[in-house]
Amino acid sequence: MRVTQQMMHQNSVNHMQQNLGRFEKTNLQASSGKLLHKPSDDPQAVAKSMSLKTVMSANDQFERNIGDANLWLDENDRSIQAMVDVTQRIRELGVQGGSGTLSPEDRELIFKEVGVLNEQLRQFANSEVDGRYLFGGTDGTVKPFPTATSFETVDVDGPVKTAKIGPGLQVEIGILPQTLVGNAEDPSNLFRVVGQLADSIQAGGQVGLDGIDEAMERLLTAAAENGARQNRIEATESRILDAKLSLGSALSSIEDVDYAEILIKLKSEESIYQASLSSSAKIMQTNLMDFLR
Amino acid sequence: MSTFHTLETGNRGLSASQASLSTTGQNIANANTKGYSRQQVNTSSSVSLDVWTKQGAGQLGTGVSIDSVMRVRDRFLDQQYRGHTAEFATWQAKSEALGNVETILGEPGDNGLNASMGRLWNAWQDLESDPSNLAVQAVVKERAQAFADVAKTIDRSMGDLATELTERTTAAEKEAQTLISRIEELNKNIMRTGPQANNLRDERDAAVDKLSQLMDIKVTEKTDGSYALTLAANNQPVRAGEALDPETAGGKLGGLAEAAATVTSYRENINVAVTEFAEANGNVFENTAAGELRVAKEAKLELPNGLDEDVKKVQADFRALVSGLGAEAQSAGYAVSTQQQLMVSTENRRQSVAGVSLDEEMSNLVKFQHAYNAAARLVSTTDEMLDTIINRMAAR
Repeated sequence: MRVTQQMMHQNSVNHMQQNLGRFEKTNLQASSGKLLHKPSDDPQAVAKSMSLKTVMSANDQFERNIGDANLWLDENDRSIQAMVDVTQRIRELGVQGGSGTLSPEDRELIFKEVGVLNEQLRQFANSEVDGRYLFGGTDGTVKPFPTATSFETVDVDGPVKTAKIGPGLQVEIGILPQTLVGNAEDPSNLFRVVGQLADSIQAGGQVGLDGIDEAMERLLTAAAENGARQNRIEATESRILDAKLSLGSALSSIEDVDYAEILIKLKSEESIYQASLSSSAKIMQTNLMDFLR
Repeated sequence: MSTFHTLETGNRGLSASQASLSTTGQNIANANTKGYSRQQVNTSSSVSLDVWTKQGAGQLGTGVSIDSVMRVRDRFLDQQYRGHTAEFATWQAKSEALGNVETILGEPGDNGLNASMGRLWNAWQDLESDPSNLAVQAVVKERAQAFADVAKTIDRSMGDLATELTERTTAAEKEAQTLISRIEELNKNIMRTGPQANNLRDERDAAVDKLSQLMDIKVTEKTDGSYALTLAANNQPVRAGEALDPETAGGKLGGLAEAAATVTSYRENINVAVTEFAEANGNVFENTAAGELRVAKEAKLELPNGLDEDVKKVQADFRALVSGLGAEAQSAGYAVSTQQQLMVSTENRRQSVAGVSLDEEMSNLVKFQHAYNAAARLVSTTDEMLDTIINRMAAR
């Protein structure tokens, strides 16, 4: 085949351009640390990376939600524990006040103490955290027992506060006040029972302890349920942390550059480019005119 | 046999050699001219004289005559090259447009639609844990505004891109029309000048090469020397002054028109995804039309029903769109480099036939120079012989 000067020149230029283009692309990957810059670099990998990022962002959100839920459940636990302690003390006073050996003045003192403790129970039931009522219904805006007698008439509406700790995974973190103290009409409603106990002490005579035992049972059940929820959330939290690690490394394996590999590639592209430059230089210089005198 | 017969032979030899030398010079001077085909002097022996010899009628040569000065060109290679050029231009236009769309979308990245959808969904989750918190409501509205801003920027850029492609199509059409008129003008000149109008033919071939970048055309040479242009797609003749339809034209025109249609369709699909997402987000957007997303600044926000499933679906659809775009852009890129290889290899074969090789021309120069010297020698030898006859035979 005949070879002409224009052909050789054009071919040399084309090859130098191609080599330089590849060199530049490898350089871009090495300096940015990312293999994927545009969807056309690798369409499937880009779709996978987008989907992984979405899942990872959702997991971050779930972690935050779990943090909030833990705060709420811890506060629940503290408040219920405090109420249990007070109720225990009231029961003791009930036992004391029911003994026949007390004078009316002693009974009056005990009656007053029970009254103070009752008020304390009401305050614990109205606990606030972060500007919201702990047992205040769905968004914590309703004060459960604004007055000493509201337990007789008002039941706070549900649904309870929930937290989303995973895709489609809602866990209840709120507790309705009636779960703790009983419904308004329930004869074993904690405040009713304590009130009745106080009246019995003041009046003298037998003090029934069945009511307060039932109320105590109710409180302990609520505490147990709360504890179970705390365990469930802890388990989910550690699962999410593990998932974060494995998703992160999956994303990195798709998107990120392996530096050892890319630097070797860069060096080899550089030598290819230099080889094409030097061979072009040699070809373009000699022709017949150098040899004809 | 005439006395000056040999002189005439020598004379013809001198002219032929001179013509060849001059043509070699022309080739050397035009070695780097784009579109130049090397020229050759075709010679043959001139008509012989009949002389009587003992063995019957004899033919005495009378020298060389120049038949033609023709260019060396292969029109089949030309046709192949034009076809490849047109394909290359089509894919080049499409690949460039798709690359622009990828840049506009900015995926995968932290500032594109996907990331902003994720951030808005996160803000909704915070709202779910604390519905009456005004600060959280403000964050949801801010994130929604950020999404709206990204969506509007993308929409506007896609619109600008489509407009730019249409403008470029119009410009390419004008250029094609200019070239077609030029080719017809050259046709007329070539018909007048005859079959050896080498420079005009080279010019015409260069114009046809340029035109075949813009449109996919076939060329047939008629017996009167003019070129008849037809569209490769449907064999319709192409004449100056007639409107060009980008859809059948092929080449860059066809590529730009297809690219404009592709960009518009991607713009619509992206807007569909944006509107679906806005609708899934309930009352935070008061206008969900893609071009005019507006955030309801005063509204009290409530968590929308089915937010999770709807957002998941919209995000999956959007990923599929980005994936599809990536695949299309990738295959356009492959097509461009394949076509470029084909173009380069055909051009090499063309150059192999029609290009000037300086080495060849150098050795031709030596060859014709010797021939010229020899012819001159013949003339001086004949001169000496005639000198003997005229001046010394029976001289007084």
